[in-house]
Amino acid sequence: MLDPSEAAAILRSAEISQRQSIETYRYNRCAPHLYIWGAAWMAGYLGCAANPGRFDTIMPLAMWGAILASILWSIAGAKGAHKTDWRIAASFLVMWIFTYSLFAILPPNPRAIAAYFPLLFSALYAGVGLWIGLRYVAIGAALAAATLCGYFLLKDYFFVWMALFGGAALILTGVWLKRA
Amino acid sequence: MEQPDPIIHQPVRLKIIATLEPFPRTEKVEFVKLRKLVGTSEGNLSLHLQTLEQSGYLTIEKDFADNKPRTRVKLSREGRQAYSLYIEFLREIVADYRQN
Repeated sequence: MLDPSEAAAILRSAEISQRQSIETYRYNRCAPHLYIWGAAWMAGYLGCAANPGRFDTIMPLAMWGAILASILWSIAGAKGAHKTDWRIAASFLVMWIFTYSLFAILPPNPRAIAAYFPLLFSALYAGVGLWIGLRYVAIGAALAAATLCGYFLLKDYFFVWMALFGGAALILTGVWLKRA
Repeated sequence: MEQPDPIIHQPVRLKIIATLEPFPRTEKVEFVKLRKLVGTSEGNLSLHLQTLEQSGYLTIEKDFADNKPRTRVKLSREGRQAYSLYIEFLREIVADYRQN
């Protein structure tokens, strides 16, 4: 017969293994979404840098494209997977509705809008990361720092900075999560 | 259950099953990733995977991806059931001790 303290120790060790496994699984599932959003940011911000007057058309197009791609990817990968994957795509939709509502009551300028999205994502990554994995907190902090640096220090090159640094940062963090 | 399942009641094998259990039923976990998560040597992991496969607790699939050999592992229904019974067995021991 097993000793109760031994049984409790085995249970704890099994729980640790499971928690670690769940975290890795979530990181891996999130990685493709980061590739999609990284590519969308690059395309969107570079488009805006080349044609600042068409910000109102280019950015929503890039963002909606990313939302759609993210949802399609979730559907494709949902076979037999945990249902939480669906929530990743659904949460993008919720954020978009929140953003439109916010802009309706507090109309911003194009640069502020361009800075708003990375900051929103930073806050979400950091917030979610506190619950599901510290790598997300690191991503959020890096993204927020880069956005604020670009916004205040690189005013004329802000869109280019966000395209190259923001977009690349998302893609690279996707690679980082995939390797977790 | 009077005695713990002898197949699962071994630290490395328990870690393997506890690691595989949270993955969706259809998901196959690559050997390299599993080794990283379990934190053991390649040879040791192979040995225990073989024991678990022989007991019907998991399936091992070998194929090629990008012209490189790839080994993937998936927990079977029997494996999930055995793990669940084993955890239940341990919880009962702890609960009995707390009650008395």
